[in-house]
Amino acid sequence: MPADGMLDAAAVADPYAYFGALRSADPVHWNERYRAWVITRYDDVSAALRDPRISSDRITPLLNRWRARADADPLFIETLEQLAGWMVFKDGDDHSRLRRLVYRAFTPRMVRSMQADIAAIADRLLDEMAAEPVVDLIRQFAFPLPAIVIAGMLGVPPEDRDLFKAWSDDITALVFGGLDDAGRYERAAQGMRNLVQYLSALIAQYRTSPAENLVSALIRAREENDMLSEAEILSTCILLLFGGHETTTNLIGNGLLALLNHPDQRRLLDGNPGLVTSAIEEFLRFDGPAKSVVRIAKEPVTIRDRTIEPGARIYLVLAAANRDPEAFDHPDELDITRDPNPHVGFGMGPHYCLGSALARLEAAEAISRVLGRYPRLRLATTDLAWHPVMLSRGLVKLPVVLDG
Amino acid sequence: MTDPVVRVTVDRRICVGSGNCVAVDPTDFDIVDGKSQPARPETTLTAELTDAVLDCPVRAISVWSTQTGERLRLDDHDGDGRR
Repeated sequence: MPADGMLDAAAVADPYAYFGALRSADPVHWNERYRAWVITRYDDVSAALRDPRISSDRITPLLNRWRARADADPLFIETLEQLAGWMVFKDGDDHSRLRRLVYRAFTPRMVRSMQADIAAIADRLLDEMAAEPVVDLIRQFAFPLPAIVIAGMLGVPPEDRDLFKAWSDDITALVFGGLDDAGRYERAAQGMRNLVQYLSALIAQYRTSPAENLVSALIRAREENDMLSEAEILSTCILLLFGGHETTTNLIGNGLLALLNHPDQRRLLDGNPGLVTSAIEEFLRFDGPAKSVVRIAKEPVTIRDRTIEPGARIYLVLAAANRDPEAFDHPDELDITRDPNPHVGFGMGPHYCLGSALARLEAAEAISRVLGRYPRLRLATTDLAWHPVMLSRGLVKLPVVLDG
Repeated sequence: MTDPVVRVTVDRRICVGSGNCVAVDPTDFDIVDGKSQPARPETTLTAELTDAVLDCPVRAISVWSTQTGERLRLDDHDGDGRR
């Protein structure tokens, strides 16, 4: 039985080995160290993501616990209160109402209209890195690309984007590091405050002078007589900024790494660039950016022979589900032609990634363009480090030689 | 000219239960066990149904002509790539 060290060095470096062993030995596992259930089989993860007894609201319990404490920092409480407005942390009608008002901006058709802009952003980033012998593709490509795209979509002027990105980096550290890790929250809270202030001003500006951007679309969104309140527009902007940022960076980074580590698959893609669409799906399955998601049981839930008590925290390990041999043939092989590919890399159920079409397009453009521009691209090192966090799977750096 | 009568299918292997279809066209889809299924054996191809087909994030929905039995392509990209 693997130990409970989900964040030990070995488990961070290779979560597939760690969680694969857990999936075989104890698929519905109580992790004593982190005080949470850990679910690793595809069928169980898929069912849990669609089970209305399992809640996405992991903020309210946390907020209530901290509000009850005399030593609670008001800035931390303020951060949690802002997070509480995000639809990703809501259930049922509260959730679906917000989603219905926002989703039209992210449909495959709407996103397709952005293809030329995304390609241009990728090309400009590639132009800027041409001179260097070794390049960190995370810092110089995979990280800025989604940030620039979402900032543009929201309507953030180009001159403000670096500042905007810095604040969202600070929030990223908190949300992907673990919401109950109070040590990360000071910078995150300040970043959140800055973002709230900035976006409030931006929203006010676009209320007066509407433009073709997401902020204007959110202001305008109507569902019969329903519309978004000021607070909801703000929360949604921050969630969209945040949701589309680190995750997409990691899809691009992890996907490129998979190709660099599998030359046969890379050659296959080079010979048939149309395979990029199914390749992206396989990257989402093989080494997707969302390692796990957190849920809270609202009622007793029995999975196999274990009963999860109400209030218990649950990690649904998407990375493990995506390598389950009961769901996928040769699950540990990278096969960019894999079809069908019912991976859970974007989740499943009502919270299925709202930005999936945008993420798919960004990753396809980014990966096609970098490999097209630098066909001799190769890894500069095999000594790669991964962020030691439970929820996301991402490289700290991806050093490459452009013209190897 | 009235909307054509069509048959709707949802591939539940591919469906991820995002609920997009129900949101845009509640008359034609139900969520059962967390995934979508057609609400009726035949229906008309309204603008809402077209939106549901084209806006499904995983392209799990197909519409079929009740006259020819063939799958209808609803735009240039319908049926492309993975779906």
